[in-house]
Amino acid sequence: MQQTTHDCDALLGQLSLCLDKLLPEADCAHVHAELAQCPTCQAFYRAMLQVDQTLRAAPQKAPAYDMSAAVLALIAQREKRQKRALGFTLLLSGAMSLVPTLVVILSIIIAFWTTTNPGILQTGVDVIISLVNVIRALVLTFGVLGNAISPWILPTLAALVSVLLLFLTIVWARKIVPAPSPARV
Amino acid sequence: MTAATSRQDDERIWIEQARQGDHAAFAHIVQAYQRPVYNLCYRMLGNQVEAEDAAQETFLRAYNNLHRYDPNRKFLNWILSIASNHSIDRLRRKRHIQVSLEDAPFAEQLRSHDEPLQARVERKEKADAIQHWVDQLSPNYRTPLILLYWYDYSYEEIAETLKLSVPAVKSRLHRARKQVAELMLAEQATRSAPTPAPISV
Repeated sequence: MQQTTHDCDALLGQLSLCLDKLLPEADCAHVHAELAQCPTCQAFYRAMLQVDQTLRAAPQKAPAYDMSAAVLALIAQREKRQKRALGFTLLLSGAMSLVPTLVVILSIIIAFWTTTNPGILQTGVDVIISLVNVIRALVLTFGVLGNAISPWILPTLAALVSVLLLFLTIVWARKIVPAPSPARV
Repeated sequence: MTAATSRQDDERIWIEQARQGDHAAFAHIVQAYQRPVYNLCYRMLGNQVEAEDAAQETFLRAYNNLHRYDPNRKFLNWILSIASNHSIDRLRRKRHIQVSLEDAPFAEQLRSHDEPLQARVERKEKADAIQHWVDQLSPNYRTPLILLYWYDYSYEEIAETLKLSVPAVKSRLHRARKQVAELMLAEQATRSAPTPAPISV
């Protein structure tokens, strides 16, 4: 097959504009006069003309069925999935905020029991008490650190951790709900 | 009031209702635009099944992004730009597997006896050739060519739909045409090449 040169390319570019009636007739006549002197360009232009005619005559494709029902089913499926994801997120956020509350309530109950009934629950709650002591030690350490740096450090850290937990919950909730594939009719 | 104005008014109402979550209104939009959207996806992707999936996904994306649609813009341009971007994404995500062109609709046409077999075969060959040429183009060249020939879009409309400059559209269209012409010339050269003479023993 013949190869076009840089000049041929420029000429064919102008012929392309002539095909779309974007160049004035006088300019197109000049371009066609140049074309008559280049056999390579002529071969390309003939092919371009044939392509142009074939494409202009090609019909628009129509879908084999009315897509509206399938699209609406997809939308309903997607909305259901979003609602489910929101439900999961709220549930997990609630559960996550419930855990520290339960820990605090449990600590208070244990402290109350151990002070009012030192003999009865002593053995059963030994493990829990040591756990609570570990938590207390951690809280104190953070408290000391917090006092040394700023009185707002603990609430800020707590808020950041909450936001991070919430974000992770949302990401997780989005992951666990599978994306629907386009419906077929 | 002209039919076109009435249709535009209807569309505006459907879009507004669909924005508020009215599925029935969106169904009207799908019915009104399914043909151009499907055709673009078909011409971009080259087969019926892929085109159906892509067209449905286009409408789903349009529904989810209706709040971003600017009513001053032509709705067809907006939805075709979604279809084009989605088809390009699909082409990039996985290498396109060429399934038999025309698929079921043409199979049905072949079964009908209204047209002589020779004419039907010729028409199928021509349709195959068109899609074969379009499939050979890179997605960036394919879309402007499709919008020009199947939608009668001007260069400005193509530029607006694809968010390109008019000179970029000019250049892409010229390259697309030239590439298709090269393919055609190469095919003609192959066909006209002399067949090897039989070997005499």
